[in-house]
Amino acid sequence: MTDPEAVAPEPRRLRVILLTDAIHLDLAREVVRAGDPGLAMDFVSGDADGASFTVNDVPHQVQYLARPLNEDTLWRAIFPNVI
Amino acid sequence: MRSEPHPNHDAMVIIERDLGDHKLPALLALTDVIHALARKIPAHAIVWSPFAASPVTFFNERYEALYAGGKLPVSLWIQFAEVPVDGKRMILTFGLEELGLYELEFEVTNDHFALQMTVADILMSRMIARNEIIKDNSSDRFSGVSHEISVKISHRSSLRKKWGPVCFLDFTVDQGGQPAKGVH
Repeated sequence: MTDPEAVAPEPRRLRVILLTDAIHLDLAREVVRAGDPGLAMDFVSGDADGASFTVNDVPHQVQYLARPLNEDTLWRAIFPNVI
Repeated sequence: MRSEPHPNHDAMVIIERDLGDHKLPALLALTDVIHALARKIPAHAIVWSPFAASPVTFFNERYEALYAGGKLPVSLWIQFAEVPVDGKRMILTFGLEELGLYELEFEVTNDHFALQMTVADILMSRMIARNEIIKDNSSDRFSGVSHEISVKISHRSSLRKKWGPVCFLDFTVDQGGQPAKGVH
């Protein structure tokens, strides 16, 4: 019942944002640097602004930003009506 | 339905990866990563960019349902929006196009809202798992607690402005073997 012939939109990169507080960013850096053996999550490299890590050898990137998500973007994520 | 995530944050941790050729494994793997990080990093909410925002408690509930009951946490990845169009309750999904699939659009009725949403959830899960768009002019049938529901799927122009084609769902609910009136 699925249609491999339909012209599919171009898929985009997966992007997930944890909305947190600036006081927790150092903890976030430590957590990413420590990795997670249970997930095969391994730290690769990083600095105060971001890092690279792998999960089962798949590359991931993380950014640490000490500012809130743009209000319009947050609003669209909650109420995405665009008619 | 999800409740509003906490807006009073002042920082973000943004995690990215390629979707790759296998959508479902990629989504599940990233969901595992986010769950692990959110257990250690205090967060108000999780935004599956750009459309689906969830409070962490909602995220954890859906995550537990995945491993306890095998239910895909589609509502973490895809957002539903209800809009009135010509007096009808229209539901639009947001997020499937980000995955290279067609969004869903369909009318819901007060009497069969839950059943219709459940069917939409099943169809979304199927598209993601199979990595394919539901075929044009196809149909399917599902059994609810007290009703049978049929759905015809067609590719149509979206109700949204500047949007590509979508899968439009046309429901027919049978009550006691008879099609119910006014539920198309």
